[in-house]
Amino acid sequence: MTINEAKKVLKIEAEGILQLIDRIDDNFSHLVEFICSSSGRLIIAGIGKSGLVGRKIVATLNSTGTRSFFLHPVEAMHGDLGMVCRDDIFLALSNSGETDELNILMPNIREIGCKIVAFTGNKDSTLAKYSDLVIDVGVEREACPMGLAPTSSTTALLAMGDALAVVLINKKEFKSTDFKRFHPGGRLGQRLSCEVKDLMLTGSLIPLVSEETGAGEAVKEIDRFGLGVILVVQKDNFLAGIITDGDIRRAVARKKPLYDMSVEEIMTKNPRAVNPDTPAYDALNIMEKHQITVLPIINPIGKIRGILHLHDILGKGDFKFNGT
Amino acid sequence: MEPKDKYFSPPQGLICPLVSPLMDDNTIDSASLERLLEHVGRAVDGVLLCDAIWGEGTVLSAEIRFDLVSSALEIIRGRWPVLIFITGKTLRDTQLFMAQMEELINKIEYRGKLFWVDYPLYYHSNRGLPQMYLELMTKTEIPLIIANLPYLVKQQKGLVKRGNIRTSVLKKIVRNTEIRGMIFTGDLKRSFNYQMAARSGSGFVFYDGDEAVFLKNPGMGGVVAGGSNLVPGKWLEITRFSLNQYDKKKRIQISRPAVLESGTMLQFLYSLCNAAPAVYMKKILCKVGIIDSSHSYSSVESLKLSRQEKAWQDELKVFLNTYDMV
Repeated sequence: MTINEAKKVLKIEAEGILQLIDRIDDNFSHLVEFICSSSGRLIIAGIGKSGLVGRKIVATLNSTGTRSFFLHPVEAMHGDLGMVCRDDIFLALSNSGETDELNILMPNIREIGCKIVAFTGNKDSTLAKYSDLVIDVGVEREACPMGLAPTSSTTALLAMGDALAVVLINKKEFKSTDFKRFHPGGRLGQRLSCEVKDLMLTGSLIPLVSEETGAGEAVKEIDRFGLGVILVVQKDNFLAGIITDGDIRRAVARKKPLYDMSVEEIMTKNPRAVNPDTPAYDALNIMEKHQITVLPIINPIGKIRGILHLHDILGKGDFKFNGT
Repeated sequence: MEPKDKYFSPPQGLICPLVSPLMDDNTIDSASLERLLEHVGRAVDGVLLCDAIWGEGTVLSAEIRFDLVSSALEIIRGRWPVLIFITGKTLRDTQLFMAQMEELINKIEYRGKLFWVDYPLYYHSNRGLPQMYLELMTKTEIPLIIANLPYLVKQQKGLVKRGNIRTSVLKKIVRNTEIRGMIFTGDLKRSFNYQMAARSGSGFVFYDGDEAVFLKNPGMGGVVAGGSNLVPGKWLEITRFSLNQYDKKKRIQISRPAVLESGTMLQFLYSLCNAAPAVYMKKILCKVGIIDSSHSYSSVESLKLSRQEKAWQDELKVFLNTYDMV
């Protein structure tokens, strides 16, 4: 008996979601376009159980790259409305569309000038009339035997929120790397949330030679430091260039004796460099994009402050995060 | 030199009005110039040589300017677009300098984008300006960018009445397709009128001539920012962000805090140099080791007062320590 009742509830809720498939229309596409073209945030408001669902949708959207926050309608009435800007999109959640606490805000939201979208089960409601777009999330019946407690309707609302988040993921070409960026709880995430200055090698660990050094000496230094590169510095420690293993190979291929050359002849001038405040994530992106494993770290005027190896970001180098 | 054609548009973005490194005997310090150009060049979209304000172009003799440009072109070797300030005290001086430079450019077979920069009201009135440019541009193969800088014109007391190019005159000037842009300084209303006047000039670029204004209300073409002599990377960041060039890479959310911080730094730097841009910038560049001497043609009254000089040195110390440039 008990199991049968539970199965019945699940069936009613599943049917509620399945019905949305037929009712989803162009308004949903317009909503996605609104969000993608907006420079503002997606503000979600609802009260009671719709409010709880709204908070979950906000969490999903934020973790998948759509800036969003939950606005409690009552708090909004008492000043939080100041958080809403003209560029934002206001998404109101209400199955009946007649929630007083929500509808009372609508004239003010209109006045601010942001777009209003309603997730509601009543297309003729007051909320729907105030809205630029209405997404129908209505269900035929609630699973509650008395039809009072929101059950199927909140499930449908939640499913529609997930549908929106997933469509936005695809539309914005959100990748797993982006997901990692918003979930810095993992070990790699922790490292990527650092700044370069937390990971870079400094002081005597930086492989350096002056511009006047011979190429042969530079090769010995590359070998001694074991990073596969050496930085070439000018007067006052300004970065002049970098010599990598590749530069050495190219120099050897020129068939001129390596020991007759100066570092100036073989170095790459003005190499890619970042400053110590650059997020490690950005440094990693630069390394990936340009297929390099080492980045010189310079201050705003170009003086050397350190060097960063790919292994230092990935946790295989000298730096160990949290002692791991 | 690249061939002149109507599609040859000026660089958009960050233009660095290079300070002119001098030795104590008032000759060009080539080693410092090379260091400065290599420091600046990796970030900027164009370099302005002998600029009236930052490069002391109005006080340096034609011989020193000639030396500076020839040394700089040798170092740059076409790697970045170069803008050359040609304005002299009279129209004849201007024509003469332009002719000398053009001869040099042809002689060394320079390959790279070049533009003249002229502040016409410095030596000419609004009357007959379009006609003057029609004649001037027949004598050169290099396109020109004009500049409106009332502050500079006012220094020529009594010679001219008007500090700004009249909008109706600009409208006629931009019909000359060899004039490709304008470095603008002035109020918002004038900026709007100028933009309306220049609408017929396809690809005509407006640069903000006042970096402090750009930091508050950025224009659409770019900025001539003296602060980029010291911190070209920071200025590039701000310029890219302001011209919305990061949008395409969807990096706005990542860059915003960094950009706000950079903006504060650049405002600070501007306030340090504002009273006498070339003099103070050279002092800073010398202090951080980019140029060897802070010797300058311009003089600053306030620097003679030791108390003000000390206050400035204290402020500079705070700036250098705050932004890790010691």
